[in-house]
Amino acid sequence: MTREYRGTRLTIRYCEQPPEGVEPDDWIPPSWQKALQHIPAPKHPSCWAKMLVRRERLANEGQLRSPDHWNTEGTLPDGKHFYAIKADRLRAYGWFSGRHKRVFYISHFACKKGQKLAQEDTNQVIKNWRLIEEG
Amino acid sequence: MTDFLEHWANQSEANAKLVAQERLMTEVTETIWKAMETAGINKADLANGMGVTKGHVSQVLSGSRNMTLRTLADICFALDLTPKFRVEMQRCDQPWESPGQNVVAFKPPPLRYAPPGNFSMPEKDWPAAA
Repeated sequence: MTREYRGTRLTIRYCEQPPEGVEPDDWIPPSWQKALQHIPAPKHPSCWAKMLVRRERLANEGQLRSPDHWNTEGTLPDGKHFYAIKADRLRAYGWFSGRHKRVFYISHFACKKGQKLAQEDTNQVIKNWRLIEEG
Repeated sequence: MTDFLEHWANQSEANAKLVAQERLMTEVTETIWKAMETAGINKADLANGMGVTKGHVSQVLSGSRNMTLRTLADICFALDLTPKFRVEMQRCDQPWESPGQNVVAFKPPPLRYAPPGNFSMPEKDWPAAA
C-alpha cells in the first residue's frame, strides 16, 4: 500500500516507501531520519510539526506562498522546476507530477547545510523523477 | 490514509498541541502572504506601511519573532484588510455556536455619536454672556 497524504487539492506521495513486511505505521522515511540527525534534538518536535502542517497546507491549498515555507529549487530534465517544502533547515524536495494528476511527489528529505542547493540532492530528485515520470 | 507525520502527531498530546500551534502560525502567515501577493506589496512596502523595519517584518513572518495580536492587527491595517477570528469544535460536524455568532469581526463599526438621554448639557443652562 502506497504511503501518501490526501488533501483537498493535492495528494502528497513519497518516493520512499516502506519495504515489504514492514508495518507502515512504524515506518519513517530513512531520509527524514537522516536529515533530523543534523538538527539538535530539542528542535526535533518543532521540525516534525512544521513539516506536517506545511505539507498539509500544500495538499489542501495547492501551494505554499511564504518563502520561509517554500522555495523553487533546481531544474528537472523536462525543463520544469522542482521545489522544497521548508521547515527550518530541513527540506522536502519534490515536484508536481505530469504523469499523475494532482500529485506532488516528495523525492526525499534533507538537511540543508549551506545557501546553495547540494548537487547530491539535485541528483536524487532527478533520479526519482525519472523513475516516476519516465519509468 | 495517514502518513508518518500524522502518525507522529497522534503519538502524544504534546505532539498534537505543537501541531495545533504550528498550524495556526502557518495559516496566518500564508494568509498574509496571499494578501500581499494580491495587493502587489512586498515586505519593504509592508514595513513602510507599518512604520517598522523590513527586518522586523521578516522576523514576524518567519516566526522567529512572536506575532502578537497587536502586530497582526497592524499588518491587516497596513494591508487594508479586516481580520476575522473563528473557532470550531474539533471532531464535531456542528459549529460551536450557531452560524454567525462564532465569527467575530474586528473591524470597528462606523462611529455614530448620539448623546444618551441622561447626558447633561450644562452649557444650555448657562446664562448668555453679557
